[in-house]
Amino acid sequence: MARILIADDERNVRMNLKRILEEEGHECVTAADFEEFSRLLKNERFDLVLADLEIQGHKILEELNEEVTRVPTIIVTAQNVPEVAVQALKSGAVDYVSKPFTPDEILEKVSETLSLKESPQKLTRKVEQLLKDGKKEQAEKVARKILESFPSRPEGHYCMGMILESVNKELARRHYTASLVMDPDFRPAEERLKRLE
Amino acid sequence: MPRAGYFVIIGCGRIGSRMAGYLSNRGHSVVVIDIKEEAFERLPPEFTGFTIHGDAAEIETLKTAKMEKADAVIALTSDDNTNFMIAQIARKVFGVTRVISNVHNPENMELFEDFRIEAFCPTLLAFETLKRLLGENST
Repeated sequence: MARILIADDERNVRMNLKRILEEEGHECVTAADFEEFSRLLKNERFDLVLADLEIQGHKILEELNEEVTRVPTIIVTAQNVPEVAVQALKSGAVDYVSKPFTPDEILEKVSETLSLKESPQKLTRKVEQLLKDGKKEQAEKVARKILESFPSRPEGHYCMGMILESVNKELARRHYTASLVMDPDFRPAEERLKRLE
Repeated sequence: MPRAGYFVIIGCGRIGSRMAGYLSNRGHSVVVIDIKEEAFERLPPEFTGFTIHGDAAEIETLKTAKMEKADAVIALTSDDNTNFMIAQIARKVFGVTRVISNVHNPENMELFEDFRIEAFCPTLLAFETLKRLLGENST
């Protein structure tokens, strides 16, 4: 289970998030003010951060950008405006949830974000297994995640190629080629490409 | 404990604030809406949910509360007509399956029940309690 840092100047929100996440078996540490949040983020190891966009008037994505980019961060904010979400994502946050939130919303976002931490190799094996089980839609979801999370790695395109092979050989070929552009020694894509030709 | 749920309570009076604290304490996420901001002062310390200061008769207020995600909506305003309207919107517009309402006038109970709203009437509950206290239960 993950070690999660929760930062919000509203006690209600901190307690609510802590309760939801601890029930799922995660270890939670809470910070009520910006200084504490900053200290914890810099000195301790966390798998994930859930934080308000602004804590005591401090814009966390601006002031702690390096740390926020290093640890996957989900922004929890009262401002349910698309522009705010876009800006948060551009500034390094991995996801966004507006208040009030449901327990399911939080758990879904947290589990999605934590799954991104898996290695591309591990995710590729997941795609292969899903395709073997005939779960093409789920496989595509994971493949897209690889593409988004590891854009410069060959695995994302390789997985997309595998998914598309049965419906559009040309597109699959392009994905395998893209995969080889990223890594010319990526054998699985090379083999697949050969088989298609 | 069962899965943590999401509850929207409209009206932060004596019942609403108490219920909000109880549900919070049980680990659920709770949103309380009230048109009077000072009403939230009634919330007990164990309340860890959200408050929305606004008019629950406005659809935007209910959207802000993410009513469509609610496991249950509880209408506890001081007016039966408002409670009825909110209950209907919760069910018809937001597709909420569990809608519970306070009914002040016992004569309105039938109407709420006809519309499949789970209703309770404090007057009738008090009446039944009083009967029991007086040992008048059997008749």
